[in-house]
Amino acid sequence: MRESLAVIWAIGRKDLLLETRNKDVIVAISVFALLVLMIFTFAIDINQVNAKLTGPGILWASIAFAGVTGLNRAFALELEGNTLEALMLAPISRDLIYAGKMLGNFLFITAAQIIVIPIFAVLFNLAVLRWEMLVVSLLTTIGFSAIGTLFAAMTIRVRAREVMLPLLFLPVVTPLIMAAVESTSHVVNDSSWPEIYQWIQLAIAFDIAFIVISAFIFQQILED
Amino acid sequence: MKIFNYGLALLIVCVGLVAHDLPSLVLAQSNPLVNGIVVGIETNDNEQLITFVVSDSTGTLTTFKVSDSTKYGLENQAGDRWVTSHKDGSEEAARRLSEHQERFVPITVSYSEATEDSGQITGIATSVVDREQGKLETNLGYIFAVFAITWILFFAYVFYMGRKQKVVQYEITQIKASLQ
Amino acid sequence: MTKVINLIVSPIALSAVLMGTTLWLILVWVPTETNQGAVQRILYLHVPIAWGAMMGIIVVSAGSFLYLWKKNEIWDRLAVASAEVGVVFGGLALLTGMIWAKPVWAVWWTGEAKLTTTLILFFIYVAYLMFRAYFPPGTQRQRLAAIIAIIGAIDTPIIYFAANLWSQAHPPLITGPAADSESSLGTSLGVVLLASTISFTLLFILLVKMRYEIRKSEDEIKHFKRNHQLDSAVLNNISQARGTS
Repeated sequence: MRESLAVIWAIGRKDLLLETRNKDVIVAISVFALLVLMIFTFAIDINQVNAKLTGPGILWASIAFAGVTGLNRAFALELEGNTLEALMLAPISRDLIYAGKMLGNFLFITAAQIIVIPIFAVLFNLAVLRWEMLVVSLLTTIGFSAIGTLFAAMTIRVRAREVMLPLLFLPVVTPLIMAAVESTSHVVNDSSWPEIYQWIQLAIAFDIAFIVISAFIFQQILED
Repeated sequence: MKIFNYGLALLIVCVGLVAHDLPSLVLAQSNPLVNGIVVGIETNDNEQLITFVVSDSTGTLTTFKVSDSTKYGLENQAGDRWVTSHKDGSEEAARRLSEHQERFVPITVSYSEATEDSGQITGIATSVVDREQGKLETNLGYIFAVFAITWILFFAYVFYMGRKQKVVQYEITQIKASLQ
Repeated sequence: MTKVINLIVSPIALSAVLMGTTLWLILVWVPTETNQGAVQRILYLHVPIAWGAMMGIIVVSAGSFLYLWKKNEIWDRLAVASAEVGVVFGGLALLTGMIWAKPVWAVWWTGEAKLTTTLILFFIYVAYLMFRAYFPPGTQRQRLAAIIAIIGAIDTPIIYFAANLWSQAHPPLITGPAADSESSLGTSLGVVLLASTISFTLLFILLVKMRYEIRKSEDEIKHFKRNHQLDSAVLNNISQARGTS
């Protein structure tokens, strides 16, 4: 168990180290998300009334789109350096590689959210910085990175990778996006915890289902 | 090709049916119907609907009792349609019907168990809805659209498969030729 | 003579006769429903087509699962054939549903759970087909496609649950005669719906079978070409013909 965790951490740390050098992925995700947010503030005339209605949806749409861009970038880096092949040669089980890559992606999207969500709160003038929001964004990010890592590994050899990844990723994570948007709008409307909780439950079920499945399936993906 | 025989047969049947039976498509009805305006309403002490009287275009009066399974589909002046069964909305039914009476809005009633007693017809209403006549034409347009789209898409898909089949057949003849 | 007999007893002819009968039942025999009027007849097409789309998903995921398990190409062919036919049925189910909803619910589209689920699944299986088109051929493509199909199947109940919860939070704005009002038709509705479902199921099976057989021939040609090194001239001919056709 401890060894497995060490392997997962080693892979995750490798991605993080790479990221601290060239800052490709986190910058890509946060700038992309902020751009989407900014375009929406022009597309919809944001005021106190419609900010609460549209804000949560816009936030999670921008994070989902930006997340896909980041995942594309993360696996493009692996492809450029042929590092995934090297990783597969290592005598470690495939589900640990999956968990390590997922950890890396999770950290990237989380870091981007730390930048994006406060700016969203300012732009849309919404009080989203509550502890419930932390739970929501953690669960959503776990789901995003679980599915995203899986599909990114699958599309790595596809001709039109940049197009294929969002086409696979977005419909599958729709229930998670629904959960994130609904619970965020409960957060901005100051709803009580039970109302948020039914959506949190959905997100938890989604995360557990796909982490378990992905760990099983990842073996099949990297097989040659 | 076999697929096209199938398609052709289907197309002929379709065209024949629609051309021959379009009038009955519009007119076919399950239960006897009365079209007319409401001329009288009777409610009980709880303002729940018990009976109502409808006058058709010839002035014939028909009295309808309602039962728990009677269904309503009645619009208010704004055009919002209210649909429910008598069990769940007997008071609202009385309100809506008296509103229809005031506005002289024609309704369509389908009924069962009709009895005739000295020229007075009495029946149990099975459904009470706003008269549909005005919308019939647009409704037929919707049906036409559905059937057209369905068959066009199916045939397009069959056509796509037919093209694939052609390519396969061509390759097989090429291979055969090259083997000889 | 035997040709004629063969045609008469073939499943295609059977399907044509069934479909013709169904159309007669839908357009002529069954009385008009009093609440919804003539548009209710759309449902006799819409419901069986939606059922076909659902069958498509079930067959794709079963085929994909069996492919991953047995590694037999038969199951992969079955999966891709029913995915294609399923997408056609799914698209049709969405279109016919929208056209029915306009006069009855007064809107083309609403956030109702079944609608949302169908739309998302439609996109997942379109992505499945696109993935197959984009990925370089080989067993890896078949394996990865099978995984996508299975993920889609696992996602289905979650999507439905989420969509259901969502539509409870946002009650759809339906102003027309609601669909959940009971029908005035009773048994005759059931008869037509049953006949229609049988016809469309048969049509679904036939289309999948045709697609499966084309797929099989394509695979066999590919295997043959690999095993017998054909003249480059012949190969050139074929590729030219492909380019012009």
